[in-house]
Amino acid sequence: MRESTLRLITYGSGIFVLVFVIIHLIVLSVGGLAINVSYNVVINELRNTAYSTVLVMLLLATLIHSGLGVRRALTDSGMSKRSIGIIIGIVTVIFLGIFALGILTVIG
Amino acid sequence: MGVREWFRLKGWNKERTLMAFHRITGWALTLFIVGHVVFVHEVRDGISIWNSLLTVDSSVFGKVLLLGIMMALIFHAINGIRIMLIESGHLLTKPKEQEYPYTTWLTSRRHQIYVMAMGTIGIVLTVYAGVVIFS
Repeated sequence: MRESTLRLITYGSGIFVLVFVIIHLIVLSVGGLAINVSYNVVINELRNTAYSTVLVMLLLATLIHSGLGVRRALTDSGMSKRSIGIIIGIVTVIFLGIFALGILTVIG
Repeated sequence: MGVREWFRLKGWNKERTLMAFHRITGWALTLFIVGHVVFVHEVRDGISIWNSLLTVDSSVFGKVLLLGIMMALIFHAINGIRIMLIESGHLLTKPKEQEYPYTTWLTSRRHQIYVMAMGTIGIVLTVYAGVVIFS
């Protein structure tokens, strides 16, 4: 993939994350943070299909944005291509695991 | 050029400082999102485990950590918008013949105003986040 395309994906995912993080934080803060993170409220919110879908999309966009950010930082660090490839491979496996865990959290 | 170059004190300017903080906050937020997903997944293990985790979350240490993450998020978001505005040309000066004393986009009025606004919005949002977290 071209570098310019990767940068466009970084910016696009960044804007997506920004918009949905604002929604996520508003949902958490309205009515009090302590109440909104209590067990029953969290379970009820996870049962809401629309909100859960948004959370999964937010997680996916965040991991894409983070992954591309990590790649950019590694590229700028001057490391060898082989080392960068290995680290990106490890990060990808961790991120896939985190994404799977996020889906498992939502579907219960 | 290497990682050491990002944090080299000699020759620092506003752009280098903001870039270094953008990298640091990016790494911090990446670590947070991994921990956050693992943390929230514990809700599926029942109310007792969730409540025991919430005691960490509601402690002073937990709240300070959360505020730190919010500050990193606010900075990363506002500075990210700045980077996009620079790369799309909105914060750059119009091309013209250079005359002494030379000015660059970094010291241009438009960029200075954005950085000032960025600082002000960042402080306001951090105070609001602090009120929400500690109330």
